[in-house]
Amino acid sequence: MKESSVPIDNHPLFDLRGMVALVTGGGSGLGREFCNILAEFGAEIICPDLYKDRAEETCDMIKRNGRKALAMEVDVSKYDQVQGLFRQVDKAFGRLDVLVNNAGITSRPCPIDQLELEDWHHVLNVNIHGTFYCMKEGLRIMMRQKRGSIINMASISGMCGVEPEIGPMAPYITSKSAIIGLTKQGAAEYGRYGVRVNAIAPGWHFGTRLSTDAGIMRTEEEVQKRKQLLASRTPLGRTGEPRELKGLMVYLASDASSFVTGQIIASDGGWTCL
Amino acid sequence: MEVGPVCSISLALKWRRDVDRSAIAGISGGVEGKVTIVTGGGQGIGKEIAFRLSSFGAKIVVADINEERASEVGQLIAEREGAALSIGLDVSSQESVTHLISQTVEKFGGVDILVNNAGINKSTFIYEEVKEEEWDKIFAVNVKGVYFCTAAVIPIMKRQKGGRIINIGSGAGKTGAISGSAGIHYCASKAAVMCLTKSFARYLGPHGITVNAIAPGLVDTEMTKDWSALKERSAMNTPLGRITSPSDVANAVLFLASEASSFITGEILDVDGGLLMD
Repeated sequence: MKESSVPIDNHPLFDLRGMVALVTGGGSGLGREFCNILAEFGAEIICPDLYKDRAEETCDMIKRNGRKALAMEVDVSKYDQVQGLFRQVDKAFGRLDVLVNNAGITSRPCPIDQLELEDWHHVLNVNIHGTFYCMKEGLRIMMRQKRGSIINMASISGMCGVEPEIGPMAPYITSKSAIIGLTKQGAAEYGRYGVRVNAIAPGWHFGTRLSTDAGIMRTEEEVQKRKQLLASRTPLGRTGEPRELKGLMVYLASDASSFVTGQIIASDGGWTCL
Repeated sequence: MEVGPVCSISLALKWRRDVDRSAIAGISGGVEGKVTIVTGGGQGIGKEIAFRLSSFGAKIVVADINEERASEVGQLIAEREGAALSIGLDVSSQESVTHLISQTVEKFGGVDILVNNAGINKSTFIYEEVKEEEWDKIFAVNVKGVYFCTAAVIPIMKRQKGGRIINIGSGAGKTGAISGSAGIHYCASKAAVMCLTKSFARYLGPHGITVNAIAPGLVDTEMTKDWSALKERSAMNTPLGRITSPSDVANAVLFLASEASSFITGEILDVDGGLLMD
């Protein structure tokens, strides 16, 4: 964690001190990166994850760097658990400034006609319903304080679809499209309360749990082959690294983006050029 | 005119060169020491961009058609111990652009960041009454200017194996002019800027050069000072309830110029308080 060793910054434009940030699925992959960078810029972190031990690992890293962090075991697809989470946030912190709806899953690649209904529902439950539940509860706190920044995780695949050779994952892609709709509607409805809602649409990144969970890559050789395929079709000529999304996270979480809302920002090396 | 919280922060920030500039460096490198050309840097949005990037340690080339204004901005930066070169520039003249680049390279040894901000809007709003001369003038500055400046830095950025190009587009280039907020030729020219952005992004990606655009809504500047009714209406239709400030745009430029956006290219970032959400 080289980045975490950088001294806490105190630039007013990007300063997150005094703010409370919640990152769902913060126990691993991108979620962990987000927790770390938000903490590095001064925020107190709430880290709910389906796996408590992973959430605790993230929080231990943050605490070692002298910041407050709270690990929680939460399944975002269960509304009562999400309600409990936000009740506790309100009780323990009394505020919520940044909500990152990062928790997300994918099913294995499979053409639509062969999809198991169970896979379809499972992915949509976590990705769409989870994001909706957290927005519903989080917005209530943010409305009250008349400020807040919600950052949803979309995907470029939710903007343009992808060829079967690259990733036939209709449930995931559908869920990411839905998140784009939820983002824009949230921005339209809550702008008047000083709440901004934006989404990050990552392109092809390696080194996250999601990309390995998809089960697309099995051997190191296959990983390299896939990387090459994706890189060859990306204008920047490479795939992304999870750390490259951290800057965008800080920009969207902080006052530096105080007039940016309803935006779906692609960080994809030029894949979509939208 | 309500200007929102970032403005007050930026005012405090603008002249504080003692502040810790590692904000973005904390992620993976900021704009410190980067040679940055800002066209139209003598006034309005360009001036704000020049100040903002300078306050984060960039070396600024303030280029403007109005040489006097360019040198005023350059002087203000120098007074705050920032590195600056001011220069008269007509972006629609290839010769003038060539001169800009040679002066920049001579003074600072390269170009890391190009902000194509120069643009004009003063124009006939009645669509069928635009005269040829006015049409050509708008396209010469807004479109040809972006092309000339970009083309001129390509060999340098290729040699440096990287660079950042940030164009100032406009929401009007996506929607067309809404109720007489701009001329039809202005809107078409901004649409062209955004297409140049994507084309150059695809073309320059393999060289590690990113090209992005910012699409502001109506911005509160000298250029729009007489448009109070329009501004009021625009603010009313905007979820965040106000129009864009130059500071909002400058912050977005800072983000796109820094290493924090290293995997972002070909992107049109709206800084409009949610006005379009297209």
